[in-house]
Amino acid sequence: MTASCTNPFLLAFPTTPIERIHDTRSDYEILAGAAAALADEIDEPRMRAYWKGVLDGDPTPYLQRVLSGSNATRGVLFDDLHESCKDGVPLLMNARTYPRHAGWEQRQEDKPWYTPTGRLEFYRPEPEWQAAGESLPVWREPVDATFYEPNAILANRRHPSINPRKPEDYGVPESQLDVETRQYRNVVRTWQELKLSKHPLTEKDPAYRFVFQTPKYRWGAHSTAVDSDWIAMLFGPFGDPYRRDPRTPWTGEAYAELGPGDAKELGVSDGDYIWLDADPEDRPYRGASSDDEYYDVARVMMRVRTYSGMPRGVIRTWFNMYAATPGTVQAQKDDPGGPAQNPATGYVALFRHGSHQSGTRAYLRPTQMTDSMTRKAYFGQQIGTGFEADVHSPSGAPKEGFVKVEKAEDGAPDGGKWRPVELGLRPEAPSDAMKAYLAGEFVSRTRKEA
Amino acid sequence: MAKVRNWQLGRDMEYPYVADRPAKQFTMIMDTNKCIACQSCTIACKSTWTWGKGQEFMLWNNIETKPYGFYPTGWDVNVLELLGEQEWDGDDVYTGQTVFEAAPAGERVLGWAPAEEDWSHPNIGEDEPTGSADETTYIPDKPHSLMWMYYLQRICNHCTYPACVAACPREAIYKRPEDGIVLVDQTRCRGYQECLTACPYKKTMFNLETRVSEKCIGCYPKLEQGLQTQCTTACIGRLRLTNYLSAPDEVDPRKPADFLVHVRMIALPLYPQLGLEPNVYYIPPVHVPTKYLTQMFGPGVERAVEMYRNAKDDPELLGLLMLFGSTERIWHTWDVSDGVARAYDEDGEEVVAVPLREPTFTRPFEFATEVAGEPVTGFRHNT
Amino acid sequence: MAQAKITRKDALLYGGAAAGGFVVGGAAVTAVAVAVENEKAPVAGAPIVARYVDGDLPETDPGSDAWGDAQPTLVALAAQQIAQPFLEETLVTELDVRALHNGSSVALLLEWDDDSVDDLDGIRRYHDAVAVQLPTAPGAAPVLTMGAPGIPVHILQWRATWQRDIDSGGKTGVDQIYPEVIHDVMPDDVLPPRTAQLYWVAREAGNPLAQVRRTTPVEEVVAEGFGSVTHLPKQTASGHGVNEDGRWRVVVAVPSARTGVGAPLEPGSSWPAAFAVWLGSEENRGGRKHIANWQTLVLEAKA
Repeated sequence: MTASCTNPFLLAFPTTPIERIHDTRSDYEILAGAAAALADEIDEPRMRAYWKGVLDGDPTPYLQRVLSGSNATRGVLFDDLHESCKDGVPLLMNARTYPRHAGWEQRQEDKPWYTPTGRLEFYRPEPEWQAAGESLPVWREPVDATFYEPNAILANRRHPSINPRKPEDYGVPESQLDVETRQYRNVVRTWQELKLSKHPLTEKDPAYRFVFQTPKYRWGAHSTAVDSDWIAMLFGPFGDPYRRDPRTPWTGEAYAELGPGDAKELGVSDGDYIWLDADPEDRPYRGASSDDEYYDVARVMMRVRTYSGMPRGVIRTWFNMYAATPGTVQAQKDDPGGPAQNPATGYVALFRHGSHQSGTRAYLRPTQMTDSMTRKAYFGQQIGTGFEADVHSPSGAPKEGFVKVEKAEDGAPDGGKWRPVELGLRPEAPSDAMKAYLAGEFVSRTRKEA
Repeated sequence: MAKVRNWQLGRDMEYPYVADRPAKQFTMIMDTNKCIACQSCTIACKSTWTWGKGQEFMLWNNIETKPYGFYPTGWDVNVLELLGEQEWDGDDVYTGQTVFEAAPAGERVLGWAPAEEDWSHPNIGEDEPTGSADETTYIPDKPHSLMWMYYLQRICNHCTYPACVAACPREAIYKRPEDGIVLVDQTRCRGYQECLTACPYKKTMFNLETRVSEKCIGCYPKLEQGLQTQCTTACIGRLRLTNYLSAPDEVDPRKPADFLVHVRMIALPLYPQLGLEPNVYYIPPVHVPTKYLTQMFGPGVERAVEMYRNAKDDPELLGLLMLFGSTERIWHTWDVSDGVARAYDEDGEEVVAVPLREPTFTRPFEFATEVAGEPVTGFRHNT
Repeated sequence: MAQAKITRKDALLYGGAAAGGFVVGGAAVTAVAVAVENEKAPVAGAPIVARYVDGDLPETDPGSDAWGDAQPTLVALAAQQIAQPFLEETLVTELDVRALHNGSSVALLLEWDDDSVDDLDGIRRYHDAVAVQLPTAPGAAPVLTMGAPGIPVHILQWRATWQRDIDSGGKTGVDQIYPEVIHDVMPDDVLPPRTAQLYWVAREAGNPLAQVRRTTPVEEVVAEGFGSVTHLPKQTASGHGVNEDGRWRVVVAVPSARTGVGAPLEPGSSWPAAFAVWLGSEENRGGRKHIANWQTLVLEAKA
């Protein structure tokens, strides 16, 4: 069963008539089975009763509870939904309007917003927000992914409402810029000040000069961009089901995108392999050393795609790719030319080494962790304060970093440039034919006289 | 060599066989402007037709980003380079050479054989724009002559004058007389791969296990049941229309493909200058430099782009475009009235109706209903 | 050496004439003078004399001592440029041919230089092959166009791919072409075998080229002109090929009776015979091949 607040359709995937393959279980059957075993072990029958529907082979009651508990689906009988979906017809989500317009009741009627005043509020008076200097919407530099002083609040002049508790107020010197401290560090800078500052890593080593971003691939949710061989083959420019380049981990491969100008400065060509390193203080892991057993599992190596759409100083890698594991790295050592596939589990990586998360980490933001914030409840139209999962809580998505890059290997398996570069079909070194093609010069029109 | 009429070129041309147009011609219309390159079509096609061992690389349908995407690598750059610079006389007559007319001695078609590595990297160039963002990502000019890209939907063109048919020394490739679909006779092909060299669109492929050529079959088992192809019905952008095109001297403006191709001339053939009279038609992207588009779709691109930009004020055209992707069935005529477009089958029965503008419905705040005999009350809320 | 080509003009002019004289298929041979020596150098232009052997022929043994008794004939090869598509360049110029027969079968040993063994079919990957062409009916040799409408020719073609099919038990596909291929799930992983096979359409449709399980590396076909090769429903040819030291040695054998195909290859008769060689590494396939003009095959009378 699936639905979302933005999709007008409520769907159930009809029960398959096909028997389950091999000796496999659904997640909920595993949970119920474990609960039943524990119930017997500790003589607690409620643990079995809790999963009665699953253990009886009918999960419908749980699905019905979800439908009955949600505003937009209350009134729907699961069996009706299931029957309808068997015919390929979903039901509609019963939001107030179709299509759903967010905030419709507040804009069209007199329903309050989920704030203490019931109005839209653009000033947060809670002490935690005042201490953070974020009572008004302000711009903070990223904690890591910036060329300048990280996490500084950018404000052009002293504002009575932007007066945070400074590092010294917490007993921390302002010069302390380590990655742990700076995630909750409140300093205000003007642009004149900020633009002269540098990221502390750049100060130490000028090779650290790239903002590294790992957004979700546009067709991926979680790992769905890469969860079958065909999809991995279509995931970016390095797909090949035949693995003609035997270094390739699977039918496709992870890559980092650099602007052509940056690539040229780094001496890196389209299709080359690179090593990418973030702050050695905590990445790829705390206390990492190049002679550690797992260092080459954790440190990321990727192909490069030179991408004309990347701004200077920015590197992008997609978020949705299976990471290397000890098993996948060992597999490629044991069987040179083989895939990055753990023979024990079948797990296959899209990285030879590391992952996109080798260069990123999560940060905690004080304003996401208050006990005083008034917010809507996760379910229904209730209002409350403080922690509420997915509503007011830290979202520790590790998405960005600040990195350096070095070339690891040539793009072609036997050395030299990646074949499409050699063919003159890449922006890096277009052939005369490619230039003519881009300019549309293979066809001309002679205008007839009127 | 016979003289055949190629209406896309506005002239007669040389072809190894005499013209024999099918009773009706399978066609697909693609609205390039709606494509997001999600490859749903590609996977729908692959999971239906090319799952077999030996077909791993094989995508009868593929989406490639233009200008840096190719499947196989460099396909159109290579054939254009081989043919050299060519000329259209105004909008009507192609005065250059076709791949048949430019064939070298000893060959029936001017072609090139992709290297086996060219079939790797099927999604090379994905989302890659021209130009460079090194200095700025702000692009004030329109169309974006500095940075642009778009998606090209590619299946076999089921050409009126197929180069694969021309080149096959065994006459193992044929065009079905009933619907113009081009098929490789799987019992007759002996795997010489002459079609791979000849087809400028590179849409015949070699099966590595059965050692013969295979290609897009236009989902003919579906067509025979009155259904549109897998790539059409899987398209979430609703940008495709599977239908039939009349011969140019039998145009019926009530038929959707005839209307788009011959009446409004908003849908254009892919590389018409090659001379195959391809039967997949593209509504060109509105944001791409004319010179590049003319190279790809012929001299009618400015008119087509203008027509498309005007579609919002053109209910007949808008309604037809809205009916794309609205039904799995192949429909034959349509009309638009009271803000609703309706498609009809050959007997004039309505197949599907689509509003030109999505209406908004408002439900009451409080509701009371009964579910399985139990009263259920509650309220509807958007936020 | 100078570029050798056989053009359409050559074929039309000389199609019925073999090197060294006019050959009439099926003609009785009264006497053929052949020097019988132990070490025989190939002789250009000489008739190919199939010595009579009392007993079994080495039909699948190119290394058999029995071949030592047969006199090799040097047959000149040239790029096919009669029908499109043409072969551009001649890259193998000589085929050595010798023959034996035992009254019930005829076997030929065909040898040519090729230091590249090409025995897998892939994308732009073609196989080595050799073929023998014989008229089906007695009479003058047909034109050199693989027969003509109403005038079928009988062709025996050995393919390196088919040889490997047999030698390897059918391991001649993706796994051999691309050993590093990786799959999630293939039809035969999850479907009943009969259903899974449907994904190999040409194989399922009975195309002889698409099979990998086979018993002979030699295909027997008839043709009535270029592009008209037709697989015979009853396959009777046998053979075997090996490549050693950069040279293919291939035996092609066929029963003399030629039941349902053509006139029998009677002892004491003489036949026009033409040949073709394909170099896979040079992208030879189909009409892009090396061909020889009609030669004379003489079947020695029984002792």
